Amino acid sequence: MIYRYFCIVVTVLLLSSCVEKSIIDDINIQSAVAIDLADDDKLKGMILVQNYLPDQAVENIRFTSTGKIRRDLLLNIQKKSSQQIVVGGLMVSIFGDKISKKGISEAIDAYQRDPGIGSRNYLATSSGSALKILEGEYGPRGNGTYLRNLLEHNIQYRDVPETNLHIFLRDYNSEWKDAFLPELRSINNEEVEISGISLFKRDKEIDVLPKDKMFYFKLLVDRHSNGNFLVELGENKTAMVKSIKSKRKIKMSRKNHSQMILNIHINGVVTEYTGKKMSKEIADVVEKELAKKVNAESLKLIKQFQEKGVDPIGFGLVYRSKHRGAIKKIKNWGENDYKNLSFKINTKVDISESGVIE
Amino acid sequence: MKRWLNKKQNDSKQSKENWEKALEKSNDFTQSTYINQKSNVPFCLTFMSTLVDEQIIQQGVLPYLLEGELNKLEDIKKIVPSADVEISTDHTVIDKKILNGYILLTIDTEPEHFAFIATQKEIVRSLSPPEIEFSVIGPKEAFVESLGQNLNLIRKRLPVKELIIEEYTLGSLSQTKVAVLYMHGITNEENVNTVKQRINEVHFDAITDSSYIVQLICDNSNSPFPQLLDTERPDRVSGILAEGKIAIVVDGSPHVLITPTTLIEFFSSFEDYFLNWILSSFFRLIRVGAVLFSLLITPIYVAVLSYHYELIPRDLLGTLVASRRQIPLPPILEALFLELTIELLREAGARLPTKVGQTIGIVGGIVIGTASVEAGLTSNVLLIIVALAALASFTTPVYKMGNTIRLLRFPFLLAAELWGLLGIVFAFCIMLTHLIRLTSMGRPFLEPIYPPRVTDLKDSFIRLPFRFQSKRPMLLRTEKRERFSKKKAKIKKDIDEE
Repeated sequence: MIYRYFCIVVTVLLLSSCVEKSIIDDINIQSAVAIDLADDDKLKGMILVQNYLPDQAVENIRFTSTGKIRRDLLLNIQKKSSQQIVVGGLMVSIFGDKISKKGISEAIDAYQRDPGIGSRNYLATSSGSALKILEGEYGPRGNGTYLRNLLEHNIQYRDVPETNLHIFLRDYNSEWKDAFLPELRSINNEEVEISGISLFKRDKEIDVLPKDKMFYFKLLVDRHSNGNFLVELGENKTAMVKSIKSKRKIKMSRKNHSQMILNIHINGVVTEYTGKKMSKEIADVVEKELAKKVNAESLKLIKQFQEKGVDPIGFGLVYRSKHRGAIKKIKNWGENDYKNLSFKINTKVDISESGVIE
Repeated sequence: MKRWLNKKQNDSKQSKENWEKALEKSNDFTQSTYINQKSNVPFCLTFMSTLVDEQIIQQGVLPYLLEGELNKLEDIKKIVPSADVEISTDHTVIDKKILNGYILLTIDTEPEHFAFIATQKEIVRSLSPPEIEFSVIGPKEAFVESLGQNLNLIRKRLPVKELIIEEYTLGSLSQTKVAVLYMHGITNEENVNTVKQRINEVHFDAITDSSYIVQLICDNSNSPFPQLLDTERPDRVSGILAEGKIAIVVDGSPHVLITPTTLIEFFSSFEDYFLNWILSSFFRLIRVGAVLFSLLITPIYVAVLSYHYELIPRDLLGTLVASRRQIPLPPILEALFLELTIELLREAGARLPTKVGQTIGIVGGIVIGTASVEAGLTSNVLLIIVALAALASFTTPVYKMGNTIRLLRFPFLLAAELWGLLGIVFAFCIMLTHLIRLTSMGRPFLEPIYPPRVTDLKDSFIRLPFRFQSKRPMLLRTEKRERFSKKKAKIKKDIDEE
């Protein structure tokens, strides 16, 4: 018995040194990272570390370096830092436009392997240099937190479809769907905005969707869309419709196997109306107008994707599930079968409320 | 020791005054001879003056002995108005009787006969409200240090013939009276026999409190968990006896033991039964949560700060880092420092008189706490955590369980320092294994979690209303499972409803 206890104690003491310690005040926690290409085709990266000042304010500390692969980059940066830099607290990763046009497969590899990086880390691209975005000073809570909150609230309540490392990697690794990322643009040193959505084909950025198309894009891609939408009713009357809830369902037509049917259902409220009184009839008109507009715009978007051969909406996944043996039979779906598909969009809009005062 | 006593008693057969020689050495040994006024028979009274009540002798014994018709020893039964008068020929019991507060009466004409008259001095503290298990609602009586008084308090609440009281005398020197209480026809015989057997097997010289009995008869004396519940509330004891458990009352101890018990019972206060079931269930859950919090929060702090910075919420990170920046100690030393400070405060508070104790609490809590944060020895976040953990550990209604939790925190801290969260899980597994193996009088201690008995959950983490409590706990294997008829209990009519 004593011998057994002795063994346990010895094991405990011997094993205890195997775990690497990282005491929070002795480490630098990466909050954001920007990766771009340098002129000589090497990776150029900037790591943002938040330094917490005693008065609760946050100071942005930046480390810049170049390297061949992402790990190399990190190693070079470690040489500049007084404390060990750890990746576990990463909130936002930004890829510059140069690297996203060339392909981000190298940069993304580390994210697939490092268990320390949380899958809820936001990925984004940038228009222009990625490093420039991190060079700004946004708000007192630090750039990392600022950018994360910027993306988070736009995803939750506005027009950016849900995306994070987990979702991106799923799309990126799938042969039947293409990935997309929100694109950030630095306006000046203190402002940054979401300027659109980067569409990827495999690991290369193909196209950027402009801001005003993002509402339709979210309707097509995501389950919930909380966008605001302006409906013009003629006679200088406009109504602002806020979508509370939206649903989309992709089906394959039973008669024609190369036709995809998209059912979009929007539940919305009228938040603003420039006319006199919002009656039931006008609400019906608003519903119809909005549905018409959504139909037309979405179809335009889909056609555009089809031309470019990218499929961020995931028609491929539906197509695959409805065709027996598709995984074996169909090779290079985006180039072949996708181009021959036709689409039909049915939008239904319900205006459930038109304001408190009648 | 006992053998030696026996030997001495055997010797005394040869020289019967042996006991006298031994007792004479004490100053309180009194022996005096009187002469009966009617029959002129001289008689001798022997007693220990510290054990007898002088008033009883002067008013209730001596006048009758002096004035009554005393010719032979048998006569005292007629003339002394006392219920406890005994005449014996066995001189081996003399010293025992004298030392129990009897007076020995001898007459020269009958040297082989001894009469004993009970004149014990009973010093009983008056009843006071319970101090440890105080409850705002409900009875305010607590047990005192006298066995007779305590048994009276219990009997009064269960005036039925089924309540059996069996008395034992334990401790070769202390001769402590121990009573085992159970309900005949309800309590499982096997449980009763186990308790009796354990009590009979106690070999110890001086038993001064019921805590001795706990340690002497418990199943695993190497466990930090108390395996017998102790209470100072007579209402709790009677309630639990009715449930089919066994109570052990020890003379000289205001705490009565209850067995077999379960871990969950240590988190139930008897006040739970006085409150509505919804409220009491909520409070019980809070208590269990508080204990887990108290046990785990400091280890989690150490583990997360040393190993798992990823787990810290982003918005908290700034606060934590800023509060730890100036601190020279690693998290474990910081935590140990504060935990030990709290332990010191508790120990000091417990040893000091009440008034000074309060002052120490304030000094420790406010001065040491804030000063150590200002001096940069500990972070203020940890100070809050440790104080909260200490507060949470006081929510256990049974004081002994609070002590256990106080101790258990340290192995958890050590495991957290060595292995982080994995270590905490490891330590928790060890604790759980230990608890699963633990028994109380042969009944599983972790019931109804393990072995899982769903019906017993009705009075564990939550307390269901009384109409659901128609069956006694399965744990006790009682001889009568049903407490009351569920059918009859259902009827709830208005008076005008026929």
